[in-house]
Amino acid sequence: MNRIELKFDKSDTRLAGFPYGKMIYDKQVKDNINYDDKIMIVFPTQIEKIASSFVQGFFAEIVKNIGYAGIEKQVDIVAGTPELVYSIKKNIY
Amino acid sequence: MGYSMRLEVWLSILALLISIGTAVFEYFWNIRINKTNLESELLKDVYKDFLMTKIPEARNFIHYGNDILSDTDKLVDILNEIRHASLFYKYKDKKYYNYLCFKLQALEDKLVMKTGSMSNDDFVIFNADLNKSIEEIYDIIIKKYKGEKIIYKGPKE
Repeated sequence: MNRIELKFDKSDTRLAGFPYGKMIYDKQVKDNINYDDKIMIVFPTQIEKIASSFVQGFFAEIVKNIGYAGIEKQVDIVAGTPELVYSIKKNIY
Repeated sequence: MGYSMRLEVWLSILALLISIGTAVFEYFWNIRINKTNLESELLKDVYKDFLMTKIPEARNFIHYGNDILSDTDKLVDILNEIRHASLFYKYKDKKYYNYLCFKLQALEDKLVMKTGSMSNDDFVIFNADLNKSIEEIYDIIIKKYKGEKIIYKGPKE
């Protein structure tokens, strides 16, 4: 299992923007991910809200590699609240 | 055949051609009208509730007090619902879909990032910008419904 704990500045509680999402993927996930195994993406509990633009930028490469079906099968998302987890999963599409 | 006889024949042929032309034109025009009507019905089904109630209600929810902007989540959720509901257009009219998503997500980003502490002066600007952004979204959808030309001012596809 790939467990990837994302890191943000302590003052960041909200995330938005496709380019920013992509940048976080490139810097923190790209070289640490193994698409042949289960993947767990952990957002720190300080993050309260994530815009769909960030989600789509962050997951763009993952979608390219394993598709939406692959994401549903292989990727677990951990975040501060169940509502936030639900919102992230929904906004991948 | 005398001159007047030839003229009659030509006029008859012309009248026949005009009749056939008119019938063909009406046939294809009706197909176009039916297609437009069907699309209008689809659009109405997709967007009516959003335009008439969901967006205005969610907009009213937003609260500013004690220098804090709050309760933006409802409108953020509605903007994402509209984006998901518009998926049909990703395959039917990609340009419209991309432009609408661009506007929806631009507004969503502002709502997500600006929620929290905000000075009164900043709120005045934000509030005006919010109303303008909502009007733009309405404008795009209503123009699509009416079959009017939409001027795309977003990023290139």
